[in-house]
Amino acid sequence: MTVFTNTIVGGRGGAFSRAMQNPHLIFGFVIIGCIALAAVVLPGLLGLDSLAVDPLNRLKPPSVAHPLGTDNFGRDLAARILAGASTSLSLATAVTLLAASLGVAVGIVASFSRLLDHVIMRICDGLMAIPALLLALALTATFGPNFSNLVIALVIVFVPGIARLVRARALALRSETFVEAAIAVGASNLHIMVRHIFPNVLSVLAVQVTFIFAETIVIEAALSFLGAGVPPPAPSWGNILYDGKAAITKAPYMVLFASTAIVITVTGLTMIGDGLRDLVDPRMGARLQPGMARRLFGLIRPRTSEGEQQ
Amino acid sequence: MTMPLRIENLKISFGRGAVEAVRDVSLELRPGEILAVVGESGSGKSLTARSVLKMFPEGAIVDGRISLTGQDVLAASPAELERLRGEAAAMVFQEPSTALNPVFTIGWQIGEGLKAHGMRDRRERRTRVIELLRDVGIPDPETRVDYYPHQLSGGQKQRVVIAMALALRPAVIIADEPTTALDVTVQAGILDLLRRCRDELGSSILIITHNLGVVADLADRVVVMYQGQIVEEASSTVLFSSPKADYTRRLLAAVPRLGEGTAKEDNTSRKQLVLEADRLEITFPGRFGKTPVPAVRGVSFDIAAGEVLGLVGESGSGKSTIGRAVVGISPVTGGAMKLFGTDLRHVKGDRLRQLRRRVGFVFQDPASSFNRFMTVFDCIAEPLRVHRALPSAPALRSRVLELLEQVQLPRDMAGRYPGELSGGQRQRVGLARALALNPEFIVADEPTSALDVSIQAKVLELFTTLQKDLGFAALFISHDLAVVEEISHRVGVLRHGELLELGSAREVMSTPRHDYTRLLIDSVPVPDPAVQARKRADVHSMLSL
Repeated sequence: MTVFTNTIVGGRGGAFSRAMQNPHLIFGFVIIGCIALAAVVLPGLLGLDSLAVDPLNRLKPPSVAHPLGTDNFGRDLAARILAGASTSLSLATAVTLLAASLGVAVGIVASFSRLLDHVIMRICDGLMAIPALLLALALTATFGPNFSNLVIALVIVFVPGIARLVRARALALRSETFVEAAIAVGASNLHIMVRHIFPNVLSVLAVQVTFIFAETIVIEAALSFLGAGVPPPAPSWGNILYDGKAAITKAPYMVLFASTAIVITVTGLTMIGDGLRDLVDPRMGARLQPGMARRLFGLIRPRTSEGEQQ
Repeated sequence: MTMPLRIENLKISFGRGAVEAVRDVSLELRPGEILAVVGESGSGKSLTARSVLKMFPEGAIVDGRISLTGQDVLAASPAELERLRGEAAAMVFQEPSTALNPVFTIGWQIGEGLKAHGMRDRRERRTRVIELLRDVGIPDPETRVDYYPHQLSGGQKQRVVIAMALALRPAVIIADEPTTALDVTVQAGILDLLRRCRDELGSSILIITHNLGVVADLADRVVVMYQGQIVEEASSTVLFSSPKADYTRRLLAAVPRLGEGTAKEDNTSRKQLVLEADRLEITFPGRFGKTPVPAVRGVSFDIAAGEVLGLVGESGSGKSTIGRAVVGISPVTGGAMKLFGTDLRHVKGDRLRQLRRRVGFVFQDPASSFNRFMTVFDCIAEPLRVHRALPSAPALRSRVLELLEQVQLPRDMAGRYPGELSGGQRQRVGLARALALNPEFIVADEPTSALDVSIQAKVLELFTTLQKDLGFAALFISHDLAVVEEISHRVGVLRHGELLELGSAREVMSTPRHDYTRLLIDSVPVPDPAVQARKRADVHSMLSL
């Protein structure tokens, strides 16, 4: 008879099957997947060269030869936007991975030592007091603008936020019974950090990381626009925007296409973030409805707590 | 005349009929009657009660008819529903601390309902609120009306929640486990208050509970629910004297009864002591100028090898703190606590870990005491891995399977996650984890208080058998006197961090020396209406002294 006590909640399926029922997550991944795939495959396939200059065909509107037109040096804009996508995505991946691993390590360690906690958190406070863009700008201006310096600068910008988040979650977890249970059997601190705290922190981290990914792309574009990001002539969305600004009256499509690329990417990432949050939140488990159309409709329909009548 | 409440053929299901939580439930509540709905978790009793106010969880599909003072609730328009809620029926919730909003004064919260139902004048409202607070037995209501919920005790908060329910003099009061979160002595007061609501105000009360003692104390009629269905409906005297349904009989048999525990021969020698506490003091340091909080004050006791000592006390008595101090989760700040002869105050690092290896700990809430990312196998194997107790992976595997067998769980449970298990199964896994290293001493902190009675009975039986077979000593912490009596050789009674009484289980329960112990014993409602009525009279005379 004990079998029946859990039936109301209903079994939670595996993470993958629940992910497949989450429209945000699927759309987000499809968008980002398409962009990444296009950035890797298309330039080689269509023979696009983002650096080939063609002075005779400067600032040409979209045509068959140049589907998105050409820029102020006569370079193919489609090639540059695709190459910019690969710059942006690889930069964001590098920044996110480094910032996440560093932030998790710092956050968990801080939650285990009061002294270290105070020291680390005051440093984080200091770093967070400076606006992210300003800090990144100052750092790249000091180190000089190139890809790896940009990564370092952005990691420094994002680590404090992740560390704070992880620390807060880790502190809450430390008072959970299962952590006390581990202490009670005589487990070492390292064991508790790795086996108990880390897996339970991942859920909040996954959500935060996708938003950081999106923010990195925006900040990179902003820095490149200001001349402190990826140095020209290397293609990046920020550089295209900068070039497009000068020619905005003659070729407004440059700014338009580059910013559309940014908007689509960031929207896709935000959708992934939202989807992950729903996935991570255990309360969402029982709420899934059958049918894709119904679920999409459910995104805009107000929720009710009064039940349905037959 | 119309019945205050009539439910006809209520069906509630989830997931397009995949899970039928309530199946064809019909019941009626007569004027001035207290009707108890009894059942274990998952029996659909709370869903049934909430449906009276049309409060369903998301995704519920409902069918049937509910008429509240003659009006169909399920067909009511939102405006009618607003009027019905509060005026025709009001709800008393289980957990008083979450039922009250912490940022408003209790006076404001009680007045909210009055305002919503048309009492516009502020002064008039305040007078009425004070009157209500006086009615529910809050001392000095003129001052307390401006208090915030955190300034009141748990029992007082529940009284405020009841005052909110009474504010509009509803015909029906629905009380969903109103005393589950409260101590027994406080529970007795709340039950009295509910009875007075009926006697003085003539309200009909629908009370949802899993505690058969509460039913015997309060109810006129009882409905027993099991798996969404009503299995038995009878007047409370009839139900307790001659239960008809099989399930009711099993339920009644599973309830541990005070004073009926079998006497355990105490043949343990006091030569070998596992745990000695000598004038133990545990004080939690105050932060930023706050005064330190003493949790345990001058408690002395000892536990011999193979002996089970029960610690009983209400919330805040320091019983859990003592248990946690044994494994060094709470600091010992004064006196001495010797575990296997080593004083816990002066032991650190590796020595402490070696001590912990010899002690098993069973936690109260089996749901939160496991990491949800670890399988049952990993949970049980963790202590063995941490101490590198077994040389090889096959040895580890066979030990874990052996432990699963010891706690009577099937072997294929090993690959599942704790979240997929029922409460009783999880607590068995907790027991297996505590036993993994063959400890000489086990601390069990309220191991059954989160479980249903029938499952509690099985887990206690398992604990007793294992204790006899393996011969470990145990510190058994509980708020439930009957459970402690059933399982322990000796019993200690704690109040406000002080040990009031310590003696053999039988002595303490039959001839308590301290007044508080007697009050505690008498406050436990007995699942027998006749006996309970007598006991209630005793408690009244004691409290009025």
